[in-house]
Amino acid sequence: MANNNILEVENLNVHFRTDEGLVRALNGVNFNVERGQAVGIVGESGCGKSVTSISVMRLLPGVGEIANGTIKYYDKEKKKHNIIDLEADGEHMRSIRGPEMSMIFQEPMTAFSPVHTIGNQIMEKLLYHEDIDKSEARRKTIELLNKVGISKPEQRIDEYPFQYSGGMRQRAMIAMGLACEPQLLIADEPTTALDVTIQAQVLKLIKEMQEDYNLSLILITHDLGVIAHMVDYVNVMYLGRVVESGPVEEIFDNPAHPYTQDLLKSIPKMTGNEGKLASIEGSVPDAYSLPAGCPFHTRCRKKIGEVCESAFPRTQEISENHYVNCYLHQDLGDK
Amino acid sequence: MENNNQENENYESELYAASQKELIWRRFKKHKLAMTAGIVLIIMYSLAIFAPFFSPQDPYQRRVSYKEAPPHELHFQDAEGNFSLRPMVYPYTKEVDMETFEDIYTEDTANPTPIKFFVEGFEYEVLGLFETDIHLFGTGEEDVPVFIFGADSLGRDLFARIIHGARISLSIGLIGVAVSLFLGILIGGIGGYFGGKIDLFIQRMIELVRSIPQLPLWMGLSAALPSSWSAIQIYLAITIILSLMSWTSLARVVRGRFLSLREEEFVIAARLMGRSPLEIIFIHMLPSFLSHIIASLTLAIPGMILGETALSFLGIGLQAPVISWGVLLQKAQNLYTIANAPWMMLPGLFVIITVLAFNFLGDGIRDAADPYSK
Amino acid sequence: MSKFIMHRLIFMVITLVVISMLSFIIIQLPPGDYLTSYITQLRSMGTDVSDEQIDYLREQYGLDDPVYVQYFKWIGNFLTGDMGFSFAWNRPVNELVWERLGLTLVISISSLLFTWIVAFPIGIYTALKQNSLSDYFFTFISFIGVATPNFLLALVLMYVSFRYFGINVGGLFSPEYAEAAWSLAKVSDLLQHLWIPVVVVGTAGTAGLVRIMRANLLDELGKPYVTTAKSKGIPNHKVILKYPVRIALNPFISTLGWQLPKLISGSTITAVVLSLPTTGPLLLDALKSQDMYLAGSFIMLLSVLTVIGTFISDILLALVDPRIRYV
Ligand SMILES: Nc1ncnc2c1ncn2[C@@H]1O[C@H](COP(=O)(O)OP(=O)(O)OP(=O)(O)O)[C@@H](O)[C@H]1O
Ligand code: SF4
Ligand SMILES: [Mg+2]
Repeated sequence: MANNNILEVENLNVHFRTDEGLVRALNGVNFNVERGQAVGIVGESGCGKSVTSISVMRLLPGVGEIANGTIKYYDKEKKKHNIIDLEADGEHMRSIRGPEMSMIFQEPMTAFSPVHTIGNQIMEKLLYHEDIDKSEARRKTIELLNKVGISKPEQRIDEYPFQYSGGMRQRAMIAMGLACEPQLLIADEPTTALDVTIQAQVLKLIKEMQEDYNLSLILITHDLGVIAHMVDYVNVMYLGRVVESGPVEEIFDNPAHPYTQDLLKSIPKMTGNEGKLASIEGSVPDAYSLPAGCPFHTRCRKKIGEVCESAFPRTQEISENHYVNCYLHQDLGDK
Repeated sequence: MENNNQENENYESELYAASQKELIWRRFKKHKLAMTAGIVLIIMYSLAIFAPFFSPQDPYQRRVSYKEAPPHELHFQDAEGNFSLRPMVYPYTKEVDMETFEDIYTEDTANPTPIKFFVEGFEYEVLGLFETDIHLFGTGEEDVPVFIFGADSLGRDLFARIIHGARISLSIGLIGVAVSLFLGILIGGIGGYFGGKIDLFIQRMIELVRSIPQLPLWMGLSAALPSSWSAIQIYLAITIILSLMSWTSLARVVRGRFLSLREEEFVIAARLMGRSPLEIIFIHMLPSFLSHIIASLTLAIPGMILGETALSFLGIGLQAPVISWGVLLQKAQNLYTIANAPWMMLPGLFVIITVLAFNFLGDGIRDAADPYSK
Repeated sequence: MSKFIMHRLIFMVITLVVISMLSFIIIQLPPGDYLTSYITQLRSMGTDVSDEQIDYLREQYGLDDPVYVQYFKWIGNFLTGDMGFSFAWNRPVNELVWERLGLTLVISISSLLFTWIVAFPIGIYTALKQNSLSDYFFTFISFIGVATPNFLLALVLMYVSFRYFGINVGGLFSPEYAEAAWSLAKVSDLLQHLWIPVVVVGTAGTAGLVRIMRANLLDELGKPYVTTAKSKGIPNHKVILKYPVRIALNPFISTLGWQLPKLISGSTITAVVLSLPTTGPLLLDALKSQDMYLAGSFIMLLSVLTVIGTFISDILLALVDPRIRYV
């Protein structure tokens, strides 16, 4: 089978050293992204979605450390890069970060420098990676701004972030992400900070751009409603692990993991404003002292018994491309 | 039922305040530097409060034969090499170098004088309560003084003078900060509580005071104090002059806190329950930002201490016979003195230690009170 | 922007009015009519003061007028560049002040440069190497710097250079150049003496700046826009210099205007200790001998410098921070 993956993440473990102790943010995350595919990552706050994405970009802060695992990235020429082995600020990694993969952040206000113009910040990326001069970079930037639906881009290019509205800032952020024509776009909750009406527009824009540029997309969100519309494949995360993954219809129609089932139930029936995850009963254990066994056993309503506290359940393929880690779906005998 | 509710609510806010305090204290204890600084300051203030007890000699007593005598060395071994755990000093004999006319002090090793603890010396009052003549240490002999920090140009005990000077230098910071606190809370509180136009006016006023150059104004005002005033009047006036400038930063802190607390849930809740503004301020708001005030206060004290030192050093602040660190340092102004009697700069060391300690303590309190702000 | 400048201008004028009143109060504060007491003092020393001279002075300063008229006369004169008359020096105040302002500026500007050259790299370095050994080292040093009164540092330096190098570092010139006309030799003599006051005046400021720079930069380094910039594949050092350092520098650019006046007044004490021919000792003498026109005008002048400096700062701030510019 020809490998059509663009990203392969295997057994990713990430720790943070803090004054209070070691935070085990990721404890063996596995997922793949196929070329041109839109993949969603969902899960409650703190489960490690953002940490996963910044690990792939090698943008972890100084206190964070990739303790284990591999991240393989296949570039435009399908050449393989072992992201983990690269120096985070090294030339090799920087030739991937930006031109190959780029990221859209949650807070468009704070994600732009307040004292540089939007144009300056987008052109910087073009000028650094491409062998072009200022006027060419400016022309390209105007084109990009136009593409993401910013009116009068010739004028807007010289404005500062605070002169943009929230939605426009996020559009500019998308334009910046598209500069240098990367293959993989990671969007970390790109619409949480926006008004509801604007959210839909920005999501639509991301979808359009994905199709126009034939991008692979990782979309991180709380919002299962968004997931349903935007992605082909879903990864459900809990406490630093992917506990279930599958094609989007499968996940919605036949959720296998009790956590996924709870997540889906917590979507209010009335679709609309309240599409966000309502809370599931019980609280997430803190990342300093992870429960042994299946991390969900402290809240699981279908917990089988001691076996759930013994070890993390193996990955089981229960239908095509639908994987789950739960003892309910494991033949307990052959353990 | 109504009553019960209110009790409950009071209980909860008390609990909130208590657990806040506990949290702050726990975080503070982790701050080693701040803890050390706190201990240093406790020692400093104890030295100041019980200065006569810690002084082996009267700070005002002049000894002609000890002018600019260097610090005494404490010996644990006498001239014959006998070791003793009790330290001793050798009295000085003075000669005059006939070429340079400088005094030369040599130790008279024939007369070792042991240091005694809890010895009798000059009489003094303890906290204005009772009289005693017991001192922590000394030789117990009237004509054999022990100068652990040396003597000044009039043969007075520098150590005694430094710890007596601490009484003024250390209290000026506290009183000055109290005055600033009063002004700061009053003015900043008004601005923050009412907001709007009043706030705007007060902000402008703060800005105005801040744009006045501090040192020249201090100098001008303190030089203009009538020379007929008593020492205590001058002391108070200087304190007020120093606080006139520093209330603004406190006012800013108070104002900012008031503004943001106004919108906090627990304050709004209390307001909805019909609590009066004063009740809200004192029961609900104050506990939550007391620690910030204390931190800002702590950080404001060093400026005052340095201010007093500078003014007195220049000769336009406190004047002899009053003893303060600045007054003492005034004696160390010329090259001749510091070359011959470098120990005259020791009061400066006390200034540095105290200022450092207040800075560390203030930093620690601030970090403990608000771990997320820098 | 122009609205912003108008606001600041109005504020500047109000501040100046308040300060002029304060300065005048300082002139008025010493008990008694200073002219009278001054004349008695002069006469007791045997100096002859003619009646015309007295009348002229009384007239010029309106000493027989009500206080507010005196104030307006004084401030009116001040605005036309007449800062009054120094009784102690028997010369116009502005002559005395201008004479010394030049050297004062030389010292202050050199100190400012010294401060920045030393403080910024250390501040940036310690912020980037947060919690490393060198961070602790510099932090410790800068704490001591903040806690040490300027004059004490001056004393210690004086002591050290006298004791161990046998140099007397007081003054700005060697005796043979003090009264000499300006020449290349005199300038080089000045440069040899200049470093001590520059180091002394600069050090306190340096320590403070290091701490502020470090704190500002640490704040900025954690901001999301830094991560965004890194996500573009720009090398870390470029990112840090272009974004957080630039923003952390803003407060300094914006305080540039009042750093200088602050240094001028801050160097007063150092100047007294090192007996420098600058404005500081002049002010102190004036205050001590209650030569109040000299003192009051001098305080006023420093305040004017400060306020103008603040105004310049505000405009600089608007230039470096677009958020203010467009309000
Ligand atoms: N810089 C950091 N230092 C310490 N711990 C961190 C840091 N960044 C993240 N963590 C920890 O890693 C875990 C995962 O965080 P992450 O930000 O990935 O969550 P998330 O799934 O993106 O949540 P949200 O939906 O709220 O954005 C959390 O427990 C968090 O506390
Ligand atoms: S493994 Fe056990 S505890 Fe975990 S989700 Fe499955 S049933 Fe629940
Ligand atoms: Mg996140």
